[in-house]
Amino acid sequence: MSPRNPSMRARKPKARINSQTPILFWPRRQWMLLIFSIIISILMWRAIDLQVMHKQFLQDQGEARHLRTITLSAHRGMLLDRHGEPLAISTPVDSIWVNPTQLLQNTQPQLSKLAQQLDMTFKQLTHSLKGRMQRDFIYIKRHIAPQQAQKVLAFKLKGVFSQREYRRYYPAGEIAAHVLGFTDIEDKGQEGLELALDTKLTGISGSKQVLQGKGGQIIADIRSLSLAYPGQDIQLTLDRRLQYIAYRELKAAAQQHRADSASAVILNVQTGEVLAMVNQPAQNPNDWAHRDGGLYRNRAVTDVFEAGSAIKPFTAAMGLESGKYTPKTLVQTSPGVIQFGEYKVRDTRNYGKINLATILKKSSNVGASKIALSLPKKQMWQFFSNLGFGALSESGFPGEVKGKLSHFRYWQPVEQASLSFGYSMNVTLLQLARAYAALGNQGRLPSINFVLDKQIKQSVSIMKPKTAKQVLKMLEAVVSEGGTGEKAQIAGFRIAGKTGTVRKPAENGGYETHAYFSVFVGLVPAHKPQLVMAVLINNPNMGDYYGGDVAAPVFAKVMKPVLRLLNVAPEM
Amino acid sequence: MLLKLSIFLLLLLIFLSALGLIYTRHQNHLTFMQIQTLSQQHDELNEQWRQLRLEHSTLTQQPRIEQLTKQKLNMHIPQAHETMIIQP
Repeated sequence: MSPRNPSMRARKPKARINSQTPILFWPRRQWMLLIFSIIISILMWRAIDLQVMHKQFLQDQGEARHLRTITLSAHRGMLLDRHGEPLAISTPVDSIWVNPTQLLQNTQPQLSKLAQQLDMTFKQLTHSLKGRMQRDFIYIKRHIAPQQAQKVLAFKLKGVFSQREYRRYYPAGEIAAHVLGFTDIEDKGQEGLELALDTKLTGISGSKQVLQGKGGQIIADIRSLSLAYPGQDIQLTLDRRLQYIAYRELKAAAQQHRADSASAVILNVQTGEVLAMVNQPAQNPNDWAHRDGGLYRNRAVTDVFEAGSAIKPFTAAMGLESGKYTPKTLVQTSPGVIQFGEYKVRDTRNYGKINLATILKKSSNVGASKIALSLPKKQMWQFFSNLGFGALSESGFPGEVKGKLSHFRYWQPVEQASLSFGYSMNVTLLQLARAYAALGNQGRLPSINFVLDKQIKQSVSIMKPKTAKQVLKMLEAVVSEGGTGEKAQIAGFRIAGKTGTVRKPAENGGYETHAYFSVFVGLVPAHKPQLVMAVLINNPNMGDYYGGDVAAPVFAKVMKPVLRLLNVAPEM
Repeated sequence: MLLKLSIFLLLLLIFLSALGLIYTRHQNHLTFMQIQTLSQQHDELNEQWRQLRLEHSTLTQQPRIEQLTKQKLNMHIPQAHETMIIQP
């Protein structure tokens, strides 16, 4: 009896129930329905409560337990020399930090093992925790090699973690320490070019979100919040090889003469690029224990001195530039002394009537004074200012000083005369080297650069090319047999240069009787200068103190290998 | 009828797009993981390169080379009488 239609099938059982006196339990059913509805509404309310009312709180809590934001450290850019050799590199190191409460849950042998791996004694380890127990984060060892850190983490001790950091290394050590400067433990520039170029070198650290497990281990990366941008690498104008040669010879000279300090600068005459800049005393910047400012001071730009006779070529140039003098003009220096009230300007002997070349060669103070006094004060001040004296070189080097060139309004004749041979004014060694570069660069003063830039900045013309050429010719005579700069000679090359021997100012005013600055500035090759080098030896203590005896030999010893390295062809 | 059909179609499309969403999110996650692994690898290689660079630079420092050439190889810088200048 197959059903013919669905209604038939439905009706049939109904009929059967009907026949058995149906008990419908209506009230009970309704009660049950009510109870179930209540339960469902409670559940729904709870769901709404959790999903809507407390959503933020719960989500935050959940994320706090499983999501973690970690910083992606960006390394600091490298400093490179002009040939791309690294002078400062940040390499990854790890710092081990602990959560002290968790750490002390480890057994004692485990802790001893940890201490041993960190090159500490157990005592040192516990000592470093003392008094800091309530903190959650304590560094116990900073800046260790990543391999060592990995070994430490391999013990899987509770509460021991590592953090990636960067440490700055200076492969050239003390040789370039003064120019480069150094960074602190957070890899921030503190001194020198590290400080000057800090914004470019510093990377921007990024962050990402990760899913972490119960023990804090990272299970998966969720998303990146911000990208890490590493710092830029910067190519400097320094040449590592020149820097080394200059350093080696300067150090030898400073030791030989027991000098208080010494500096040397090598510039490219045309571009004003600093090829080498070295100082004594020095200290290896990789050694963190001796970070004493005095040892890292870049004296070539931060310290001033009176340049003395080394200024005379500019007095001669000024004379030529004024038109009042020609290389043949004779200047009367008899009787070898000029009186200014109680002050006397004197020469070592009476030279009589001499030309400009002889004034420079014999380094006649009287001759230089005569030239200066024959010209207006303003003109002299203008000329010396144009040479960059009394102003910053725009090199951007931190701590660079201006030196001193007082305004001509305050000059008395004695000042004007003493300026002509480099007293009454202060210069840095860099300023002096730059002013000489103008003589070698056809009278154009180059701007000073530490950062290699393809575009050469415009140099300012401050004297006629002819004047510069004539002065160079005179300076060539200085570095010849019988000249004061004789010892700067290099076989095969013609050198233009000038010595200076300056009495050091005494602390109570006036001058020291037996303390000197020995100076030499030279240009090479003389017929078409490429390089200028300035050497300053502060207070040589072994008898010799003339610039020609102390500073000039350094020039020759440095330039000889440098010319070979730079492939400058000998000219004779 | 048409209304019913279009509702059905819409529901189907919504369902498909929901599946698509799940799929793309999964893909996104996988790619992100991949890029993370690669960038980590990149960082590691970069760091290794820097370390090698540092090592190379330390080994090629002038003082070291000077010492090695003088002591081990008995070399010296040619003096004036040992050099010859060839004019081009």
